[in-house]
Amino acid sequence: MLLKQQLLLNLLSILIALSVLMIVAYIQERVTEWSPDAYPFGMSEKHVIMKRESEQRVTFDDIIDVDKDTGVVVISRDENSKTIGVYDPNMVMAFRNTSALGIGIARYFSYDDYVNKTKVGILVSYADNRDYTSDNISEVLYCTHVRDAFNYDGNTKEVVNLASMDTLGEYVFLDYGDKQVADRIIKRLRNSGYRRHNLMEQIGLLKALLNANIFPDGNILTAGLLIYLFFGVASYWHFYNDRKKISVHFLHGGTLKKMAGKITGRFFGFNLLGLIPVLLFCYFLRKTDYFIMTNFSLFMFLAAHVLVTTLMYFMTYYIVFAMIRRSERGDSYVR
Amino acid sequence: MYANLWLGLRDIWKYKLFFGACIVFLVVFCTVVSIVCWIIVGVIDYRKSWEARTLEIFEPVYTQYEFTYNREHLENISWIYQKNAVSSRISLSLSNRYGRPVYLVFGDGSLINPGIANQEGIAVYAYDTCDLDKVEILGVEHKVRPTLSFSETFEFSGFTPFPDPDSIFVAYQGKAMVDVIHLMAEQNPDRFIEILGDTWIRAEDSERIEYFTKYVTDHIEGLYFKGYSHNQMPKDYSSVIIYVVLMAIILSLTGAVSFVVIFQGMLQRMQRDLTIHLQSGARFRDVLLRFYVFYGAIIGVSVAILHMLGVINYRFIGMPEEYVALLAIYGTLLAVVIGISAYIARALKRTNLFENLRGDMV
Repeated sequence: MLLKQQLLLNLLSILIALSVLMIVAYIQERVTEWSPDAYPFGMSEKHVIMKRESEQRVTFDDIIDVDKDTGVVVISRDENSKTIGVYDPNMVMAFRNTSALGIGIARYFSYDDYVNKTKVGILVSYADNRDYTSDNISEVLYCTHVRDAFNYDGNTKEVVNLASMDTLGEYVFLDYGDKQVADRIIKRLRNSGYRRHNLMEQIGLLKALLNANIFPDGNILTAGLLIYLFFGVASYWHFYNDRKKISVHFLHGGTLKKMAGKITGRFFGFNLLGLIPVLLFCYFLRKTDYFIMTNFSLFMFLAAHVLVTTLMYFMTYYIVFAMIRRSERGDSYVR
Repeated sequence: MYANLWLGLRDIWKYKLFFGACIVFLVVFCTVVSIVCWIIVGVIDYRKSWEARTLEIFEPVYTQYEFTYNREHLENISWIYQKNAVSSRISLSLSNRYGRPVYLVFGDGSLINPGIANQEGIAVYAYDTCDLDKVEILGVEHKVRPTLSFSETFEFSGFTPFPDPDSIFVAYQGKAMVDVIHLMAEQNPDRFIEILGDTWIRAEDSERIEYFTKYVTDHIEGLYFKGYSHNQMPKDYSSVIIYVVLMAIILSLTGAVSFVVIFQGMLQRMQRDLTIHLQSGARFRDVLLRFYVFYGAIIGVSVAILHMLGVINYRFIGMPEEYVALLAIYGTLLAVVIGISAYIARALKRTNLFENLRGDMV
């Protein structure tokens, strides 16, 4: 009886699943991109992280040849250490770079620094503390802002010349513009007992939604989930428009349980069938860069979607049914 | 005909609650759609503009505290500034003398403002001369040309380098440029390094950019340019347009379908009304007119409210955000209009109109 309209509502359910899926996938992609570990030290998405897994210690000269290995950034640090070593021949990391401070006031690591292993460094600090010295730094090149890419996780205090360090640290972060050089360095690191390491686990869908506020407008986008309310509104009117039929059934002995079971059950079945086009659409979406959710998240989302829509469908049905049950004269039947 | 118009207006009053509910629904939905589109397109567009630079601007990195100057370098590099490249610096002494900012422009001044001609020698320009006829530079007087338009500054992405409308520009080109830079650099080698660092080159002129960066990194000791070869924006943008437009279309369809569901009950009731009129001898177009007055009023009032709320705003028409948002809003409304018009016209064109009178019609 309600079949035609019910199919319309199923179509609506599919469309809502698609639009919410697009919003949610976008949020997840953005949150992943904004999370601090996604691009450590502001590196590109090509970056490689290596972790030492043997007792063997390597020195700068074992790994990097200053004359040949350019076009890369190598940053090394120990776990929980506040000092990082930097080898940056292409000046990629010269963020808030020296020119902003003025000529003759500050400088960056130079070729000579790497060759001569001078103990120069950059200090991450609020104050301009140029007289600072420590075991690692005998000359401060300049003080950088605490929000510098060097201090992406807030744990960096000293940025020192990688060549001046005795051994490389536990972690080595590598970013490159020249793949050949990078492969060479990775190979040498591998031979010295370093292994590829993944700093970040993929951020799950639910976690991404809860953390949406880390990127601008994330909260407003999450509020886009309110589109489910529109399904509720449409569903309510769907039953309200057919209140006459429902009251006929009610007057002839239809109970809430029986009627709801039949109507909602059919809706649920079509809803499950409707997931097929949604899945096909997801297959298409995967080709864009904005759809990174795992299959598990996808299925969880779809299950939640079916559950929520079916529940809403039932709830709105219940509201209309209760309305009919309350009106003693059964006037919606007559009109 | 007027009677039918009047009947349509009476319908609005008769079903005022439903009328209001429909408008609220359309307005809220269109607002949500437009917000989502604005945010996503805005963010994507921002990242895209990051890539599509019109000017190559260099970020100098110094690895020394002190620099030396060699005229040979200046002469080797001066051909860059013949075309598509410019450097500038403020002249403190001239600014003090005239009480307004005076910029020295080296090279192709048309990058700074299209009014500055790229010609040999020295020329002085101002947005507004303010009764200043001549400027004296190094003992020679130069006539000020008031040919610049302040609004027509070169398209920079997001910043205005010469914001002061009082600014005066002294443009040097060719031999005059080499001479004046040499004069300044001999007194203080830092000036030469700063002029190199402040160079802008048109992004499409890759030959000049390549030569310039290579020459500076290889020959000028202590000066490098910040490399960003590894940090290019990671995403591929061809898929973005598909993503956003697809999303706008899906959202529009969602809105249209849910509106049709809501409207259906009303539609059936009116359909019965209109059928009775038809069978009593009313003309088809008159009956349709009555329906469209009611239904057009819903769409019309919704659009008016969206205008008043600023959701539809033609002021931003140049921005892609607004394009997509408008696409989504008008897409929603259009789908609603077509869907319901087709429905009612089809129902009233039936050969057996009695079917419309049956109460249990679906």
